[in-house]
Amino acid sequence: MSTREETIPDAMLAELCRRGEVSAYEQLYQLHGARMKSVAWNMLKNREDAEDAVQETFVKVSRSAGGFRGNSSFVTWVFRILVNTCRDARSRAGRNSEELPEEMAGGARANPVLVVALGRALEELEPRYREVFLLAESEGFTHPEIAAILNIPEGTSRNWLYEAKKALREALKEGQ
Amino acid sequence: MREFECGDLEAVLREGDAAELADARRHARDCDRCRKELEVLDLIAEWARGRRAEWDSPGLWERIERKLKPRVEWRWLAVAALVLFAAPVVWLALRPAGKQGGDREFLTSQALEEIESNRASYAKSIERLEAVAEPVLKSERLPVMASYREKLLLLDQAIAEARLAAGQNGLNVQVQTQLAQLYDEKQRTLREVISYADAKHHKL
Repeated sequence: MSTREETIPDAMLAELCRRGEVSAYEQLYQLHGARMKSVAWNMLKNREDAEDAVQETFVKVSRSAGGFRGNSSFVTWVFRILVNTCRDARSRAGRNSEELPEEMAGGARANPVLVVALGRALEELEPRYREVFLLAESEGFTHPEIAAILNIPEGTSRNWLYEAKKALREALKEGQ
Repeated sequence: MREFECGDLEAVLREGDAAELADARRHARDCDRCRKELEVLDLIAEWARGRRAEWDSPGLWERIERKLKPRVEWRWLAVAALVLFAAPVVWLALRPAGKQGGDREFLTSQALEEIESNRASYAKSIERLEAVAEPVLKSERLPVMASYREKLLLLDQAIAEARLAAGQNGLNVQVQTQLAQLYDEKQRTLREVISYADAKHHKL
């Protein structure tokens, strides 16, 4: 996980959160809140729901920080909780709760037809492929990080990303 | 080294490293099929990067903080409890010796001398820790230090009260135990502050 020079090291952040230091949670929010919101938005497709998921994640982290054993990085563990929270929210809300806002639906260079085709194809992907794709390509997580967040082997992360890209590539070819 | 072939592309895309992907791109300069394949994937990657969502969320941290506070403040209560526990002990110890009950445990004068001697050297080592921790504690760039400063202030007040009690009735085991616990807590807290700074390689 990339962090700024002025940040608390991961293990120290974990320890301070475990001790219940609100300022440590604030630092966690300042450093990773934006990325957490983006991950949640990509999974829930709604800003309000994404913010609720981030809030719920912080509460869950504060409840279970004492049980964090340091088997993965603390921040990765936080993102794992976030992803699980979003999965729960998604299943509660139903799969296609809301359409993507136009301005946030995809890259600048792609034409609108392709953006729509890719958006649809992404929604039709198996959730596991979609999650890996979004974490890797949209959020910039590495395969070791994705493996830790989703609790899968690193090789599986690579394979699922490839499968996701292959499916999107096919959708793009059909859309062209 | 074997030259890159079109048939290698899928394996490289599936599990290749950066160097292998660079090989594939070099090969694609002269291969229409592979170039088109990589262009499509680049387009997908660009589209995906555009899905990174950013927006301001005024009030979100405050909402989170409100939810967190009731959960995390109990930890400070532990320190407060330690201090509160000291109060009756101090009161008992400060009472005139003649009024104390006969069933409490008291130290012998010799044991007390040993304890006081050990405590003096312990207090000195804590003072040294304090000197090391001071610049970190005063750092404005570390918001978490405000909490540590509050905690240490609370501990210092409790230690002062317990020392007063120990000075007046040093033979009381409870007073001595209480004072030792408070010193331990202070030492532990200072060590946390120092290890925090070490871990950060903080420029003071």
